[in-house]
Amino acid sequence: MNETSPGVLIIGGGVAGMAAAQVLSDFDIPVHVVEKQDRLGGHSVKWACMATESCVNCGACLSIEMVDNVMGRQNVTPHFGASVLSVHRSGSGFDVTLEDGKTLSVQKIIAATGFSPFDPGKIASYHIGTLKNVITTARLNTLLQKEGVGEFLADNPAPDIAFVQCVGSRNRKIGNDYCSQVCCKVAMRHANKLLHVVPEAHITIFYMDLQIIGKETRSFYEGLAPNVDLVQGVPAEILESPESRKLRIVTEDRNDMTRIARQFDMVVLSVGMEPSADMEDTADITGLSPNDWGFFNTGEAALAQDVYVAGCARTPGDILSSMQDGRIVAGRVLEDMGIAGAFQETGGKKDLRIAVFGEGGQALATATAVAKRGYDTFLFGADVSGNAAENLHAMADAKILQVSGTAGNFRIYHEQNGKKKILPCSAIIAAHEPHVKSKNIGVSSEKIIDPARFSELLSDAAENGPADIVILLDYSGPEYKKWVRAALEDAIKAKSMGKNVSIIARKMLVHKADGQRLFDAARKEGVSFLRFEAPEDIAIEKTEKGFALAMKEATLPSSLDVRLDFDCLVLPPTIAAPADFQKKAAVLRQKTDAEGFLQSPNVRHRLTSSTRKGIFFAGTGHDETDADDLDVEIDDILTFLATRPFDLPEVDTGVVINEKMCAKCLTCYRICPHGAIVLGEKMKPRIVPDACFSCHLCVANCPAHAIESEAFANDAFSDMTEKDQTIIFACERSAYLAAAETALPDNVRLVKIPCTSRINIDVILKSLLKGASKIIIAGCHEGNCRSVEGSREAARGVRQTLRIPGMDDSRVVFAPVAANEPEKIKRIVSKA
Amino acid sequence: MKNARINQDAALCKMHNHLTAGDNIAECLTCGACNSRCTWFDGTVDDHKGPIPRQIVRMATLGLEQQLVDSGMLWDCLLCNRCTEVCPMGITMDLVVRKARSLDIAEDLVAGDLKKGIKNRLELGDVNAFSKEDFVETIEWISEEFGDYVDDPEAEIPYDRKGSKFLYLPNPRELGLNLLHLTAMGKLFYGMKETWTLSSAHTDVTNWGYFVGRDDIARKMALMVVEPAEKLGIETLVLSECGHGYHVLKVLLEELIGRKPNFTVISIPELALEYARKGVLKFDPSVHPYKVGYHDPCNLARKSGVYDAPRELLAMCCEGVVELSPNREDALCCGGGGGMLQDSTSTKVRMTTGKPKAMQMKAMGLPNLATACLSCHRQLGELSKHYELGIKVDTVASMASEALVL
Repeated sequence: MNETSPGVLIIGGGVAGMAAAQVLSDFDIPVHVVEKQDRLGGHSVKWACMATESCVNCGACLSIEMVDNVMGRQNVTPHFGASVLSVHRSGSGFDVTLEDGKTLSVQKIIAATGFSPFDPGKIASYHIGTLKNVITTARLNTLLQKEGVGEFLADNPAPDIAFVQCVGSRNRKIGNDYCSQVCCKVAMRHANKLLHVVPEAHITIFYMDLQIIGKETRSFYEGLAPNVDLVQGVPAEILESPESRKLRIVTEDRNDMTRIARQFDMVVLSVGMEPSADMEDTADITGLSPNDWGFFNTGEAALAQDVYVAGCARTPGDILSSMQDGRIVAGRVLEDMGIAGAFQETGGKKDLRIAVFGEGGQALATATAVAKRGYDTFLFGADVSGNAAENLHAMADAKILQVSGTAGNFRIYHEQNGKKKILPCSAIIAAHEPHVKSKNIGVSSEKIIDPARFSELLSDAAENGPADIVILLDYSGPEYKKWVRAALEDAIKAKSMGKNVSIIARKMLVHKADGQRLFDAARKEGVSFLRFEAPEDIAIEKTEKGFALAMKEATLPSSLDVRLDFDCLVLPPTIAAPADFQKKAAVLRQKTDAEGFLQSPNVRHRLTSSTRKGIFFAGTGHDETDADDLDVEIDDILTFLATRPFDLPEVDTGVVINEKMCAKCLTCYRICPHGAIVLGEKMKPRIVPDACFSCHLCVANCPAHAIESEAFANDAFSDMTEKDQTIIFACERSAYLAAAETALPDNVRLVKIPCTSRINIDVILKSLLKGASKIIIAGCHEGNCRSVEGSREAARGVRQTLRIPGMDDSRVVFAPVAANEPEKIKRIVSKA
Repeated sequence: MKNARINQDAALCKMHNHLTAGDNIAECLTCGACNSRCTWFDGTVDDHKGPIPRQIVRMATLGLEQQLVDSGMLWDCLLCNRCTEVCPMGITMDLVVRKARSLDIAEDLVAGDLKKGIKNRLELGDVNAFSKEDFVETIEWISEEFGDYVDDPEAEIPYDRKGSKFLYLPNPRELGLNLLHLTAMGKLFYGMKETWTLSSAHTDVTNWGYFVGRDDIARKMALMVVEPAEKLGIETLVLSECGHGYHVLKVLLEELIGRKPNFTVISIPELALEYARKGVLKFDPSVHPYKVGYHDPCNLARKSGVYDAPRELLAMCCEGVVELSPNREDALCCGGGGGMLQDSTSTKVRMTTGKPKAMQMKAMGLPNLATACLSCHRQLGELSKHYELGIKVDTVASMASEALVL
């Protein structure tokens, strides 16, 4: 490692730092990762797997794979147990001195110092530390990780467990007047996991405004809500009951309008995120100026020349968004170093063509940004009039028929002016528009308007417009942050124009850095906020003036019937996935999610990618995004385009189709989850190594046994089998990483495979014939498999095997084990 | 079902419309933190259901004045501000409740005893209608005894002595039921070897205008203390152990009367501690050869920030101070605050509001408890009796006086 080369210093080896390191290292840039711990991975590498029946999309397991990957890179030098002592500008870069005296010379610095959990000891009334069973999210996580929840709860089969949200967040008094963005999701996942581990547990989540934002969260919430008690109102004190010695929380009892003391066996404080304790030092040393919170997510914060901030150091966020931020920042560093898109030149693809699919403004915004970056851009569906970028080509009148090929060589078959045409392109971004429909509230009136119309009214007819306005959020469907923000902004504006404004909502989404401040500002301006529990609690009637509304207000005595008279009802629309999304997904050989939106929620391809290289998603057609989010998604995709070569295989395992044996049944073509098999002349299937992810699904499923794998042939597995051995076939991305951390008994052989789908009945039987005593196939959880079908396929193989008469069902087992479940693999092996 | 029309023009909304942290109720996040902290906990008694703090703030915010008045919560509230302590927006509950209590439509809710006491105070200078003549007679009588008490025939309990360094402002109870307490305070002053006086114009540290939320009355009552004190030319006004008296005369005084008084204000335990630190006052802890629990009066501690001085003084006068749990900022109200103790019909309710305190006293497991507020002192004593706790309750200053070595 040449320490004077134009390297990059990354301070902090969490997911954001690692993601940045991966991108930079791909470009042969020497990367120094200074990490105060003795390992990479930050917080997330210690995070327990939250999967129950299936993956719940937290992304923690990915960080373990990242550590493995980053540690294996020659040009990434980790400096463990280290911190930066000083930074001096020198020429166009920096001379960096570490605390141990080591010196580095770098061109750029990325501060990825992450977050520190809020210290709940600062709120004495929670009595953490004194009351043993008051614990933090992190402690619960450790208990789950070590499979120690049962023991902690003294094997109580039906414990009462509470989660208290917003501990250290949304609190102006302690200076944290922001939402930490992740705690609601974390608590919901933790609650779900606890119910899985202790099925009879009774779980209560005390929340302020449950932040149900994003595609995974909405459907996850729907599944969880019936199984837990969701109580609005966040207690600020936990005492011990002198009699029962249980934890005691006093809340409002809405049934008889008094206070009620509830007792719990364990209370989990959902502590918020603060900037890492090291950020202050890092900022001093590198010349960064964070905002009052210590983050870089508002305008008051300032960066320094050649110093970048990524991940939670920039803004509180979850694992996937921190990874995304790391990637994007690395892309920006490359661009500033004049290296961005370098591979296109080295790979001989100076003029990448990018196709954008989509009917509306989001596709246009995406295509415009892509074109601006210099790519030849073809926009299918949306009108480009007025956007006369030379390299932005309108294909508004083209009808997409079919897409074939693989990344770098897609061919879009389309019909234009009655002619069938083919457009070759390198990558496709699907930015389709979902249905935006208004809610039916049973009253029709031209005085019911949507937020866009309301904005217009405020700018057009200040004096003549409506005087008493009600904005009704959350009424007949989940609210979207985009319209909550619009509601708050316009309410403040209307209030300043002397109008009466009430916002009625079930929950207040306070997304993004300034979400809470915007909500605070609206209240301060005198916008009335009313809270309801269920749509049935609201009745709206038409009157001469406009409307009369009667409601049960959730924070007022239930004996009161709150009345409002108003002349304008703002009703934000809701978003739905149109039926043709199935087709739009199918054209790209992709699946939709549980709600019918584009993109499967598979955590290995979120946030903007897909199971196929070169196919990306952006906008509200696939996830809950507002204009800012769309910009981030576009940045993410542009970074992929600039940094991820299409013409290099992800992993080259030498899978080939033996033409002599191929019966051209096209099973492989049909089932390949990555679209890596194309049809050549005479309909002969051919594997494109550049697009192949090496899952071996085709190898395991070819009825003619015509697809051969050099590295993972059937015989290769059985040849190494010894008598009386337990064999664990472990997916290299999940179970293998967990098992590698575990000391296994001598009679256990761990076999690393690229995907469990490789282990079909043939491999199982051959191994058993060779004398294996037991076969464990350990792969990803349902929904977590990078190749989507892998685990399901392996489980099917096990079922098939067990159907053989006389087969002992303890000898062949499929078990989902995530990379962050070492305890689980230990448990499974010990049963063997 | 009662109809409640939201009204942002309500008088109560206007009163709170200052847009400064602490009294802008409109900023309520509806987070519900306050609800978990009400000192009533889960108790109810007769038709008193106790306050649900968030409902109070919400009704006030939405201008539902009549509903708030009808809810019964205004006078169930003990003004202890336990809820305020955890409010992420810094909304001050005692202010919200007192403003609402001051509404014309809430006048009928004011207890007869409070009304009478306020009238007495404003018209006669003392809540108990203790006249100037009674005062002079009483003081002269205990002054005669005082020489024997401190074993110094020259010693006296002075009043109306101009140019004294200290003016002691007693609690009305010290001139009636707790006369010995006044003598005990006299002993502390005697030990300080400084000039001090009582004032025949000042019989009263209390300020019931505070309880009824009437700033005009509170101001008058405060001036009834400030102006005569200034005439006497004293340096420091020394307050008897009284929580709300301290809060009003120390914390709220300037805002209330619109100026700085010409003297400083201190409570008797704080003053005694000062003189103990200087080495002037010496205490013999063996006078109380046991450990003593300390109860934080809400008005003194949470609302005025006095936590350590009474503890330090108490520690000098016994074997050691034992903390109740929770304590300090999170201390439980004795259950008699907010004007409840001043209402003679409240006894039954107070035994419910004080139950959490009583259970806390029981859990302490000690037979001795001290506090620095005569109101708390009375309530705690009653709780001890009612719940058969067998706990002797003292005030910190009286224990200091007992332990004082002359």
